[in-house]
Formats: sequence, C-alpha cells, structure tokens
Amino acid sequence: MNVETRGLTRSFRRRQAVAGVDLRIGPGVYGLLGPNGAGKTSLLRVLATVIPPSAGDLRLLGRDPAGHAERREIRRRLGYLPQDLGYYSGFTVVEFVEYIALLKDMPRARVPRAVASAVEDVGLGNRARSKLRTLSGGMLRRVGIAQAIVNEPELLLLDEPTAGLDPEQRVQFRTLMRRMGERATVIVSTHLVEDVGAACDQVGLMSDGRLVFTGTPAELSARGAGTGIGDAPLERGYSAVLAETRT
Amino acid sequence: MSMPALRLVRLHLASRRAGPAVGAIACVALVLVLPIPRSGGALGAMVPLVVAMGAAAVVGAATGSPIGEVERVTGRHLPVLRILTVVLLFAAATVLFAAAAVGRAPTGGTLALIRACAGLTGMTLLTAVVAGPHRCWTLPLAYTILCGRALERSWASLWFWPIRTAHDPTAATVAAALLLAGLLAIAARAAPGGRS
Repeated sequence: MNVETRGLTRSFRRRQAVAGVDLRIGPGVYGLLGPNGAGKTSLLRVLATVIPPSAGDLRLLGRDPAGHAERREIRRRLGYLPQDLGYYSGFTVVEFVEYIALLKDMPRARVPRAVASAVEDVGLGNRARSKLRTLSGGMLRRVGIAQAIVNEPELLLLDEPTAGLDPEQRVQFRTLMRRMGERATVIVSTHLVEDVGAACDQVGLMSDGRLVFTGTPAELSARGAGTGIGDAPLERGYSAVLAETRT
Repeated sequence: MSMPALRLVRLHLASRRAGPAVGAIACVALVLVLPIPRSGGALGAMVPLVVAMGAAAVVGAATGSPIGEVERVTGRHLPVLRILTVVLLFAAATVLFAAAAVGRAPTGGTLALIRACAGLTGMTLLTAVVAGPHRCWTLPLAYTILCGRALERSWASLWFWPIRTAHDPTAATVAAALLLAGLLAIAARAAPGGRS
C-alpha cells in the first residue's frame, strides 16, 4: 500500500478538519469527493507532508513521514498540486518545471527530457518558453500538473486539478491520470463527479472531516438508485450518501 | 559547484527576485553619498543606521517564497538555498556600502554600518519567520527608532549595540549572533505568507 492511515486526525485549534480517517490505497486513481469544507484539502496537505497530522498513524510509500530522513525520501517520490499554486511570474513554463525537478533531486541527465515530457503531457509544448505571467488560468493549472508529474512520482496528490480546464483539456487530463495510475497512486480531490466516474478506480466521500463512503464509482452510483438529487447516477449516489450522513 | 547545482541556484535567486533586490539595496546605499549634513549630531549618526535598516529589510523581504507549498515539499536543497540567498544579498550590501563609502565615509565608519546591517538583517529574518516577509521590516524599524532615541540621549547600553563604536567587540558579537540566529531560523522554517 502506498498510503496507509489509521485514525488520521488534523485539527486547527478546536476544529477537526480531518477526523479519524482510515485509508489503504495502492496503485490506481482514487477520487476524493465532498462538499466545501469537508476536509479534502486538509487531508491532501497531510498526505503531501505539508502539515503533520495531529493524531493517528500515517505511512506513505511504506515510510513514516514523521522521521526526517524518511520524509525526505517520500518527498523525492511525491508529486503535489495544491489548490492554489504559487509561482514566480518571471519564470517560463520550462524554468518553473525544471526548478521543481532540480529541487526534487532528480538525476542530472534525466531532467531536460523529463521536463520536456511533462510539459508535452499537459499540452503546453507550444508555450514551453512563455513566461508564466502571460498564461491563462487553465494553462497555469496545467503548469501545476506538469511540475507535479515531472519526477514520475509514485504518489501523486492533486487538489482540484481540473479547475479552469476546458472540456477537451479535462478529457486529456483524465487520460493522463489513468496512465499515471497504472504504476502510481494518484489521489484526486475534486468537486466534479464526472471526473471521478471517468478516471477513478476507487472513490472516497468526505463530510465534516470524516470519510463517509469508500468504494468504486459504480458502488457510489448504486447508493443513489431511486433516491438522491442529481442528473447523473454518480451525482445521485453522492447526494444520497451525504443526505444519509446528515440525518 | 556542478552545473545542475548552479542552475538550481540561478533559478532560486530568480524566484526570490535577487536582481531587483540588489538594485533596491544600491538605491538605499546611494543615500550615503547624498549631501546630508552629518556634523556629529544624532541626525548624522542616524543616516547609516537607517540605510542599514533599509538594506536589511530588502534582504528580509527576499526570503518570501512566491511558490509556497509546492517548493516546501521538495527535497533537501531548500534550506541551503535560503541561506545562500541571504548571504549573497548581504555580501552585495557590504560591497555597495564599501563602494559608497569611497565617495563619502558614513558617520561612525563603514565597519559600524556593515555591523548594523548584519544585526538588523538577522532581526528582519527572525521577524519574517514569525510575521511573514511582508512584515519583516516592522521590528527592525521600531528598533531603529529606539536607537535614534538612544543616540539623542547618549545611552550607551548594550541593548543599543548598533550605535556603539565601530570597534566594540561586544556589539560585533551581538550583530553576528543575530545574523546567525536569523539564518538558522529561515533554514529551519520557511517564512509564512510569502505567496505572490
């Protein structure tokens, strides 16, 4: 298992953003759904080693991120796209992705090809030399995805990766996710249930910091049969599970 | 240093806007050559202190990361790069101050100016870690104003080490300790709130 958590909790002052989450995730694409404030971003930040858990057990790629050396090794093999990507606007696309690749200690000889490949994978080959300040929001999102995949991570964490992408780009991105999921664990936090239906093998639904459903997209759809609110089976399953947890 | 390491340093310095930061320090150093009356009064003695504080604030502001979390969850290089950025900018300030002093020596001497810049840089770094790089200048500014008051009243306490004589070893030790503490603090922890 690449991600193992037991009773994982993260508190901010008195509020528990993540409240006792148990996860066991191997290679594949795992979709993380939930309403705003459900705790998805906090969970991803803990898994990305940005913030430590307040309580519970956490193992990533078979290692304990609490240890300095193990955390460093996890980070070398991790790809992370936060909800709000920070960037230096004077960088070109290639410079930004190369900077992150070098920071991640990638072998010297691999960097140029890996950067070019990541930039191509997100469809920005023709804008590789453009300054980030000249790119649209959707393009910047793709730059963020490129920096996350440049080191061919074994654990890829993506927070709202398709925000700002047009439908064609979203289809391309799902293909990329499925490809990455063949050998790595990809965890995608999203509001877009159609992304989950199209690209994820497993799905988790969070509400109030807790994981209230885990299973396949088909199993989630089945929970909404005859009930729930929504236009698609997955949306009905999503709303039915949330309604159950609130009653 | 190998080519990838040099490339990484170059990209890191670019992300911290090191070039414009050196330009800003040069502008601050220009104040030293302005024809401001400095005949022994507190105002004349304050000019180098304010210049040192200005340069220190520029160095502190340059510790802010526009990249944030993505950069923080990378490997082992970031603490070293943070220290290197500060050291290079401080070295640039030293060279620029020395060059400005060729035209007109600052009150108290160039050594005292560099000492003040070192200690105040340490103070800005510590403030940046606690309050964020955008507010890194607040504590050093307040302290500089306090030092101005001490100059007026001829207080000679060690609390006002920047206004002691250029060759005071205790003042030099305090300044070096502040700079070292600041460097260690930014190496251990990124300055918060440095997103663009």
